[in-house]
Amino acid sequence: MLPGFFRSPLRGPWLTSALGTVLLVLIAIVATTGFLSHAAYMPDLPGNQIVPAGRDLPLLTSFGWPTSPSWLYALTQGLHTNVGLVAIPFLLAKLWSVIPRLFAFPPVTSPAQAIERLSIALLVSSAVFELATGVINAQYWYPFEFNFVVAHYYGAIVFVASLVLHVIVKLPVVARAYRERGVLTPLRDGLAGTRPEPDGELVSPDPAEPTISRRGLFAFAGAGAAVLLLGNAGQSIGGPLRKLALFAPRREDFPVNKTAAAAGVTAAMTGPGYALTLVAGGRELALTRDELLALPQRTARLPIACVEGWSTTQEWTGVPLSALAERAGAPGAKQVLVESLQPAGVLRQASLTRDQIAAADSLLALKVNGADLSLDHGYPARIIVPALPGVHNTKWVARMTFA
Amino acid sequence: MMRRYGASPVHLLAHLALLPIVAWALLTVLDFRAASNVVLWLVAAVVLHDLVLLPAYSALDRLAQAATRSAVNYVRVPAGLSLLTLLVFWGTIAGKGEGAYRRVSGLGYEGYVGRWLLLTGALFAVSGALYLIRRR
Repeated sequence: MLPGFFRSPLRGPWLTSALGTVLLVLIAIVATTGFLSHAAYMPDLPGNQIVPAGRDLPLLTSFGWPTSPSWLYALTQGLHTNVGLVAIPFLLAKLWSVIPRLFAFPPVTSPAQAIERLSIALLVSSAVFELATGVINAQYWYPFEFNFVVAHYYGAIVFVASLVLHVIVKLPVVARAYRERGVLTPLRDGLAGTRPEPDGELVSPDPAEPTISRRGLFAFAGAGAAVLLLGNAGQSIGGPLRKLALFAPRREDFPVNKTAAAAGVTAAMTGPGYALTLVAGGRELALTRDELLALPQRTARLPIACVEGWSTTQEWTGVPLSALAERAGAPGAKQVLVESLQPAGVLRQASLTRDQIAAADSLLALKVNGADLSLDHGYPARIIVPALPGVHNTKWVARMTFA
Repeated sequence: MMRRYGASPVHLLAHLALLPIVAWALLTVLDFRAASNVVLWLVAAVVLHDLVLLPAYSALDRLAQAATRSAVNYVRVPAGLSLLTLLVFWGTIAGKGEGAYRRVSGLGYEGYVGRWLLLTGALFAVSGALYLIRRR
């Protein structure tokens, strides 16, 4: 590429530093909430593991995910998905600001530069990979052959590690740009006052006349973020805002994550022959739905939030899990493995911790909003636990094994 | 030695500390399933952004500049926002995810194209109104 091909007068160390700073804050939120979500699935418990056992980050397993506040997972996963969308226009602007570096000639001048270019390639690749796979997964579009959870998780580790590396390497450049040009000072210039940065990498040797100011560029990226947020956030917040989520998939008030038909659960399985089996210490106890309804009931208004970022709050009524543990002969149970009537699939079962069984509002729900559960929402009985990732609130519960 | 390396010791140590973690994560995911598809996606992510998307929007921007001169931002901004929305929500707007969504939820993707067209029209309408107000 000829020198002088890239002629924007906006490019320079300050612009890239400022875009990088905004992006760093956004990515810190997205990465933290993403790893928290991984922890919230409690991969160490039986049936909960999705990424290969023994190949997980040791710090993130054995994490006691809390049950209070009940909206915790709705918040963390709402942030993960929506702030991820907000990051997209800033990532595009950041990559635009550094594109001349891709065509630097000669491409490599030292071992340090060679290894740095490799790490930058990994950084850009994993950044685009993480945002692209996250976005399309939330839209139910799966044009890939890998397992989304596994690839998005290890891709995140590649992304975060290469980002930490990038921040360490570029910190002096950022500090110098802010020291020499001020952190916010260049944003004061309107179009008429917009000049190329005086020196430094990325500054065009043959700058064109500006067509937009630096603050205009930030406003443009910010407007992009606002439009994407507006198009999606309603499915995370719910209520009347849900209809504002113009482009999100979950625009109905009480979405069904997976229908009974899709899960392979039939009316015959949930009919008069249905009984819930409670297992504890080798003893089994079967309870029909009428027997469950005859036990003391509790009602709780709880959100259920999906890893895809949508959530809904409803009023659930059923038997507290702690009462079921007692009934099974395992008061104060350490954990419970909940299995569904659903015949197959990774998420037909999930384990809960002692704290999740003990929480007052953790229910085996039989009703929602005063009416029997519909088949698609888990009739005859489903789990609802405060702050638990959506799919671990097992529907069509067939068997609960306490330990 | 650092002169031959071409950067500070911090640069070298940071790479030696973090690149092995990157390599571990890559090897783990490649070992799990569909390794060639993961590699394809990682490579395509860079190639499609750097050599397709960025040149394409830069070329469109040049066209807009040539066509509008000083008023370019009144076209650039609404067009950019509209195309960003189309790119990010391609799965719902183009219905790419509709088959899988219908299988799990029993519902379809209704009205997404229409809402995107309305958004696009509204963005250009606001931009046009601002142009008229400011030109007077």
